[in-house]
Amino acid sequence: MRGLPAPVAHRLNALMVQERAVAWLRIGADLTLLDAGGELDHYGLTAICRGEPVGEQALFLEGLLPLFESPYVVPSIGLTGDIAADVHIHEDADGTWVLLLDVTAERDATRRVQQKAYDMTLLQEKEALLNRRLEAVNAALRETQRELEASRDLARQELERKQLELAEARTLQLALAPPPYRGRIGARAVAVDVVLEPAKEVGGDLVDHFRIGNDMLVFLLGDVSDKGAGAALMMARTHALFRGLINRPDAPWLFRAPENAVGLVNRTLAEGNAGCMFVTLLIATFDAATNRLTYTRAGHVPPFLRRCGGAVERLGAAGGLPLGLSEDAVYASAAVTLAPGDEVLTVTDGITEAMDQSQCLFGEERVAGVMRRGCVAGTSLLQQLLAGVRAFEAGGMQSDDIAAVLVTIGTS
Amino acid sequence: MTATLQKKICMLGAFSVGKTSLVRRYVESVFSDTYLTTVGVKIDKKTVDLAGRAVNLILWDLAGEDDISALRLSYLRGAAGYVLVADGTRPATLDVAMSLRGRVEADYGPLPFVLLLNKNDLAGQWAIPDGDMDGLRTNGWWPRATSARTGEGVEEAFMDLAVRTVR
Repeated sequence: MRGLPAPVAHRLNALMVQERAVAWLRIGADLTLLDAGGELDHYGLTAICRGEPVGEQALFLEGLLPLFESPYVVPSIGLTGDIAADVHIHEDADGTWVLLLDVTAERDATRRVQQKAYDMTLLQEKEALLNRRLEAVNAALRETQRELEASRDLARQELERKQLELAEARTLQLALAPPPYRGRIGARAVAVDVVLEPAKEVGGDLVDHFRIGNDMLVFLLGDVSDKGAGAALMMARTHALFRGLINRPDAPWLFRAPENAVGLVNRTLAEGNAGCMFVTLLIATFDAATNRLTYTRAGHVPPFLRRCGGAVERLGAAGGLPLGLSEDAVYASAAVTLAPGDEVLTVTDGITEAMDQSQCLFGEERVAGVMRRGCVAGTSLLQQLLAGVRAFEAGGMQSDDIAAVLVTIGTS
Repeated sequence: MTATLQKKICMLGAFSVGKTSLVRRYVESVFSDTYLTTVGVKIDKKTVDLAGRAVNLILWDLAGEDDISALRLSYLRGAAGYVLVADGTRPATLDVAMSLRGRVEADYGPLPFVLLLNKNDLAGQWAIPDGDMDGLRTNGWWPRATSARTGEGVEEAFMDLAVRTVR
């Protein structure tokens, strides 16, 4: 070797052979193995046979021979026993030479570095993938949040619109209740007081009173079978139907015997009553010419009659089914004579079925008790009744619509 | 008796797509979750029977390509065909496979090959859009979904390639 003293060259040669586990093959032009030597066992070439095709004995040579360029190097081929070798191939006049040099240590060192780099890269890829997925989820969540906020705003606007509509409906419904009356029916002084307090924005109780001619006062109180907007519409319809009878030529006949008016209204209400709603009703006509109170009670709470002496009676005669249930329902009336100082109170079940904290009902007897005590100075009987109900409920929520009408026959 | 044929088949693809696992599944019918990177090339042999003739497939499992070390195309010298492998959970590895195919064809001409979309057992993490698969089929690549873990599609893919290398 040029420039190297022979001892150095020999030492280098020895190191190469020792550390690189050199093995060699010599191959003929017919691709058979001519000769072999060196550390063949190190590379798993133990059963190698001279004179046999080399391709089947050294698999790593498949496709490489005949050599297309010389020298040719195939680096770091993994062989039997996890040994790695650089394969150097060259040609000369004696054939094709294949040298195997062990590079297992270098391969392992490279593998350790490469392994860490790939592991790190894979982690970064997973992190990037997770970040993309998180961003996608976040974007979807933000979109969902925007949709929810938009839906909430729409719902709020819709709620406000409905609340406004209900407030207007409440105003209109309360306007259907007539103001108190102080005046004469025929020659008789009569006072009429009313109360209407829906449990919700609108309710299903109705109260009304009106005159027919000079001598008749008609008052009525009803309770629709449900509460809320549907009941309010049913209440308004019932109210309008009775009001529609006032100006008919036969109005005196209809109301003198109120079962006639009730029969007409019932038929109209019962026709096509898809919701099966019904109305309990008390309608009464006071005829000042006879001092007779003729009433029809269609499933309603019996009115309370307080005689001027303080005794309380119930007007419990049955007049027929609640209105709206059957077109063929038949109604009847009963009559009672009123004297000056008598008072007739009619209530809905919002009063009799008001509940205290232990779910006990106010009851009809408590109403009768208020009637018996009569007016206390400065407070009307209706005011006393409502105050009694509120005290009984003790701050609890009003569970049902409340309506009442009080008719007082004057002494003059 | 007919002499045994030998065909050199190279495994190509990005790093960590499962090339070594596919070879181990095919040759040894085993799978390991442990990822051990390949340096240089690892050679295995699988003898198959093609129409009554034994064919030795010499499988060159090449180190995966990455941003730093490019594939040594010299490893493909004398190859009869190659297996392109991509990881179905990592779309970028499909780009690497397509790039490799172009470079191999530029140097060695149109060799038979099969394209494997590996790790099909990780269906929940599959990230290659159906549109990309359709595009590959339109270009005549006919990708195969495989799983070295379960063995799904592995035997069929190698056999398909082996048949095409001896035509």
